[in-house]
Amino acid sequence: MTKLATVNELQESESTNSTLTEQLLAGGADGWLEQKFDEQMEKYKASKTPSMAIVVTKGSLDWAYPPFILASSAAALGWDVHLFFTFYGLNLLKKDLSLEISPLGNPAMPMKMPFGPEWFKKINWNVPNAISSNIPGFEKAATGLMKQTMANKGVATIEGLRELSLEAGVKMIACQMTVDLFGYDMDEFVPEVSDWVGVAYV
Amino acid sequence: MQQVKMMGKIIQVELSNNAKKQLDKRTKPLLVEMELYFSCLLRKEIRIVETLREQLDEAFSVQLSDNLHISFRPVMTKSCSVSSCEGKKPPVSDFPIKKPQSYVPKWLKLDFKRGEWCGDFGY
Repeated sequence: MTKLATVNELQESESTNSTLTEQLLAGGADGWLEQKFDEQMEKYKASKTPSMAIVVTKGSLDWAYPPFILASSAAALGWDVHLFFTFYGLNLLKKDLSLEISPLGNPAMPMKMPFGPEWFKKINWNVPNAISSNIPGFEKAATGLMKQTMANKGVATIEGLRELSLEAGVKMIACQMTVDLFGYDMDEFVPEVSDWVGVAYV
Repeated sequence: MQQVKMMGKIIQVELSNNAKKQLDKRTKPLLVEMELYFSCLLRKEIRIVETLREQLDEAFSVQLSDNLHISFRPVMTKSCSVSSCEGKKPPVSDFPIKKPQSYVPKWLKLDFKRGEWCGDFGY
C-alpha cells in the first residue's frame, strides 16, 4: 500500500510538473520572469542610495553655479554626490574665490544694470566686442554688476553654495594632473578636498 | 550679536538698533522665516510673519526673545508648469530635505528701514 501511494503521489507530482511546464512553455515563462525581475529591481532601487558624479571643468562665475546647484540640491535630497574638479574647474576649490565673468564672446549674457529705476534696469546694453575687449577693467565691472544683480535677487553666492555642499557631505575631488600642469600649490586650495586623483577614480 | 541653536547648529543673529527698538514696541511676537528656495538657482529670502502661527515646527524654529521667533524653511516650486502660476511667482511647497541641519544658516541679520523689516542670512 505504501509503495502504491508513493507511486500515486509521484504520478500526481509528475502531472503537476507537467502542467507547470506546459504553462511555462505556452508563454507563461516570460511573464513570470518579468514579474520576478520587476520585483527584484524594486527591492534594489529601494535599498540603493542614488548617486551622482559631476565633472567640473569651468572656473568662471557663471559656470560655477550649475555644478554647485546640482550638488547641493541632490545632497539635500540624500544623494551621494561627487564633484571632480579638473582644468579651470579647479579654481572653484581655491581658498580665495575671485571668480569673474566675461561678456566677451558671450552673446547670451544680458548686460543690465542692477540699480536705478525699473525702466533703466530693463535696458539691455549691447556693448560691441570691439569696445568691451579694449576697455581696461571691463570684465571687473561686468563681474561686479553680475554679483550685485545676484545679491539683489537673493541668489546664494558660490562661496555659500560650496560651504553648503561641503556641509551636506558632497565629496570634492581634485585632479592631481591639473595641479601639476598649472603649477598650483596645494596650499591654495580649501582643506576639505577629499582626494587628489585621476579621472579613473570617478 | 546673539546666538541661537537650531538642529544643533549655532546661528549668529545680528539685530540693528532700529530692529531692537521696533521689537521692543511690539505686543505680539514676530516670526522671521529664513526661506531657502531650491530651484535652478538657490535663492534666499527673509519672510516676515506678523502673526505667529499656532503650530510651528519645533525642529525648524527657535525663540530668540519674547518678541522674536526665527524659523528655517526650505522650499521648492509646487509645479514646473508655467501655466499653473498665478501672478509672477510660482507657488511653493516644503522641500523634502533629508539633511536639514546642513542647510540651516550660520548667520541672520535683521533691520528695520523705511517702515519695513528687511534682512539677510547666509552660510
